Amino acid sequence: MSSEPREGPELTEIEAALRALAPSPSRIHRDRLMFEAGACWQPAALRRPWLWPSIAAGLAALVLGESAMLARRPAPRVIERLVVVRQPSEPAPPPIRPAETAPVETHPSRAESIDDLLAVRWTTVGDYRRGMTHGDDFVSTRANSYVERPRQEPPTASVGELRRAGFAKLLNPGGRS
Amino acid sequence: MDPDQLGRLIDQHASALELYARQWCGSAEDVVQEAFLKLAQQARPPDNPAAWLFRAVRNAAINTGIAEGRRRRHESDAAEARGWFQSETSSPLDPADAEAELRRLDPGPRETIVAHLWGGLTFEQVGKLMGISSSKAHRLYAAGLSTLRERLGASCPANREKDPS
Repeated sequence: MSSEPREGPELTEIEAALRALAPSPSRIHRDRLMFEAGACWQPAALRRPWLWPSIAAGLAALVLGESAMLARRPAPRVIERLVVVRQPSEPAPPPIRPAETAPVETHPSRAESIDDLLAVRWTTVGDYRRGMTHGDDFVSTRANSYVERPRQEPPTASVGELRRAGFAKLLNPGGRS
Repeated sequence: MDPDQLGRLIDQHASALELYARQWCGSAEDVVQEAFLKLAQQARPPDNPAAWLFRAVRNAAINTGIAEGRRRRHESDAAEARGWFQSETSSPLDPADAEAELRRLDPGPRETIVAHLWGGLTFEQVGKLMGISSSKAHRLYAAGLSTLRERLGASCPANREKDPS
């Protein structure tokens, strides 16, 4: 205000006289105005009424678009392809350690001699002990029993035939239970 | 805006704003009330609330005056029992005479006088309000005061005392 231009003395008098005139009191109801101002007050989020409708409209458009795409989507194609998978050769089975009491399936004809047969048979602790107790009689008796056992014919079917039979059995659902 | 601050603004400026709005329209209190409500709804209070209020009142009063039209304005003026100024005053001027002479003034000088004298705005603010420079606002103010001095001189007791005749 200090930089405001000052009027000359001839205008200062009329200026002071006019300034002394007080405007008529306001006819505004102060309390009512304060109440209406409080009622009109809105949080910042509500001052942008376009925000949430625009978000809702955008999401609705997205849903409609997705629905249209799903409705027009072609039926899924079933592609049948024959894939031949060659099974690698089976690795050699690990050596089976003979159990203590399990009899060893040894074909007598494959034994080179009675010593080989005994070497196989005495791998079990029980036979070894019996052999040590009863002597050669026991060993010869057991050996003869193996010799006299009827020979089991090895399977004549090939591995491939057995595998195919296994697959057929696996795929066969079977009858009614 | 803080309610206390709004209350202080109402107490300080409501009367001057109504006087300012009466230059253009008859329903000055409605215009001023709308301006206060707009101010209360501002997310960020203006730097100078008084200047903001005078601008809001000016724009609204001009629009209201145009809408009211000449006929309704005359009716409003006729229905307006109270004058622009309080009758009980310490001023040597007669309030009714001052009001009548102010009404006779050109709009530019009258607006600068009301905004500066009773609104408390600086000439820079008055210039921004009216879209003119501050020096132009001051020239209009001085011209208006000079005119009022000439017209009210006879009714001014101080001048009568000085006047030997």
